[in-house]
Amino acid sequence: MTGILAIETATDACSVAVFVDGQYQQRHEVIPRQHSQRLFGMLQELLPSGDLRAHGIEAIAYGCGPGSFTGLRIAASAVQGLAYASGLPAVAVSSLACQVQTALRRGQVHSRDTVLSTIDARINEVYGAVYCFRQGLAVLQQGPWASAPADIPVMNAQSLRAVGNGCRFLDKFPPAVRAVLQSSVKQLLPEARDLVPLALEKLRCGDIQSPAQVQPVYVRNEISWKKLSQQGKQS
Amino acid sequence: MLILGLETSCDETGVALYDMARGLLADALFSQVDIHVEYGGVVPELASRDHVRKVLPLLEQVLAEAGCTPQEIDGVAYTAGPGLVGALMVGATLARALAWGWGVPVLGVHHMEGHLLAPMLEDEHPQFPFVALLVSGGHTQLVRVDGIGQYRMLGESLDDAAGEAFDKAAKMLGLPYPGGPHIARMAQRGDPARFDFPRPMVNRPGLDFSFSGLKTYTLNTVAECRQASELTEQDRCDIARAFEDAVVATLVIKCRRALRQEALKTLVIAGGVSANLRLRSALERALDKEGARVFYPAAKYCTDNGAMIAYAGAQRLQAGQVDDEQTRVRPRWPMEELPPLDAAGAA
Ligand SMILES: Nc1ncnc2c1ncn2[C@@H]1O[C@H](COP(=O)(O)OP(=O)(O)OP(=O)(O)O)[C@@H](O)[C@H]1O
Ligand SMILES: [Mg+2]
Repeated sequence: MTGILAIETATDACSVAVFVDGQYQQRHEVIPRQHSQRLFGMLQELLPSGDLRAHGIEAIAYGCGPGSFTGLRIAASAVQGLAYASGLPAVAVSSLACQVQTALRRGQVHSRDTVLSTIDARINEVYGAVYCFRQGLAVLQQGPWASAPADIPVMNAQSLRAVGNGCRFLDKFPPAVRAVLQSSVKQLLPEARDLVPLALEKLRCGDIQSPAQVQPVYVRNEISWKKLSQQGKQS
Repeated sequence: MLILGLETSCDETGVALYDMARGLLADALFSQVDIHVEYGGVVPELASRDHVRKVLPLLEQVLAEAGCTPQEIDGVAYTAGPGLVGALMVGATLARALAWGWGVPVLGVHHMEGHLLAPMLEDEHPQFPFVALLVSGGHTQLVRVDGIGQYRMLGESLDDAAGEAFDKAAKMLGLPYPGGPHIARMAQRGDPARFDFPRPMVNRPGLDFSFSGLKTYTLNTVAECRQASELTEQDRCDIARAFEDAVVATLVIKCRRALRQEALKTLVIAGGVSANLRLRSALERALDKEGARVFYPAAKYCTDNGAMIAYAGAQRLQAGQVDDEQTRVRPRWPMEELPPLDAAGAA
């Protein structure tokens, strides 16, 4: 089976996994704002050298977001460099999808469920997307969005399970969402090993990236900075 | 020994290849000025987002330009600070990933050391020891340099940096960011006799600078012109000239004082403001009288660039210095904390 190196740093978790010969090895640490410091130490604990091909790695999967902007750039920059140096393909996987896969593996949701995956977006907003499962793999149904908790635009859900740290805003979710919620798991962060099944499927479909195509998917694209024209000053 | 240098500390993405034997082989730069101009200054998040897009294409460009393959690269240097933390992290992470993937050493370089050593890229370059005037967007420093990593701070700005003062004055005159080059252009048509701006701190002993008073003086002069009539094109040129003359005169006086104090005859100027032609010629004239000489980088290596990082990194990597396991970016990083270059590997 294809060997994968996986990196997920969109949340407070800095998570790295290696999947070779059907075996998983993972380093997963919740270390807010220390991802860049720790990432290469974790990689070196899992792989004796950066010669990825020599260690059976054939593709590099990464959580492309949404999440912490800095975290996304750490994963993207690391994967750009590793893919460039090794000549291996990269595979982008949504961090929201990865998290749904983590919840499934832990039995927090089931493969028949429809899942609202959330990540705290700070400044009182959440990232969210809705997934169902096909053959045990998260498949995107709606989203992803960045919105105020009260404005999560979920449509026509009969039944939902919510996961992720965006659930800390649960009491502010729209009434239509709360009415169909079966459960919620607030204490959950995406783990790198759960990128692997999704990445294998993408590889099978040829959905791969060259190093320069490796980029964060921010979802939130507006910034709070004001242009000179909005500052009421001449430019 | 071929070293790749990555610079992503602020609003330019710079990538270069420097070879210890052959010199600078290639460098490429992408300036984000057009992205930030409508905000009147650098927006950190936009800067970081653009570095992630640009740095790898620039790497491919320099390799093609130099006719090198990645396998020939012996080490990677990146700007570890000072600068914008998110922007620094992009270059640092990419550098570490490339180096680990290639199995070569990697080293975080001090951005201001890069600026300081940029004149070394020229054929005719200075010899240690010398006094360096670092004048950029974020720094105004006089440093005694006895060798790479042997720095003693002689004086620095107590408030705004010289480049920052240029940028703020430009904003007052309705000129776009970054304002230094625009002020310099307008000043050419200015009447040097019309306004007499104060020369801050020159009557006080010591080698520190202060530019905030000059900023206020500029603002007041603009207001006075506005009161008399509209701010005319000639007013703006005259103010630009008076402002530039005042900054240049201050810098010249302090440089001369620093050389005398240290009993040295070599001055190096570097950083964005060292591109200023009036500053260069005024320093040349003043130092000529002292029997001293001034060195500066080529215009394109005055502002941020990858070449200076590749050069500084190459010197230190050659001496055996490498990063430890943790990646550390240092948004603030006093240059005096840098270790000296190992004598064995000194250039
Ligand atoms: N011809 C010029 N005359 C005066 N100032 C100039 C000129 N050209 C550039 N500058 C100024 O140089 C500064 C940019 O220099 P540089 O890129 O070295 O600074 P920085 O990287 O932003 O700051 P630092 O290096 O301190 O972190 C700007 O403030 C700009 O206005
Ligand atoms: Mg600079």
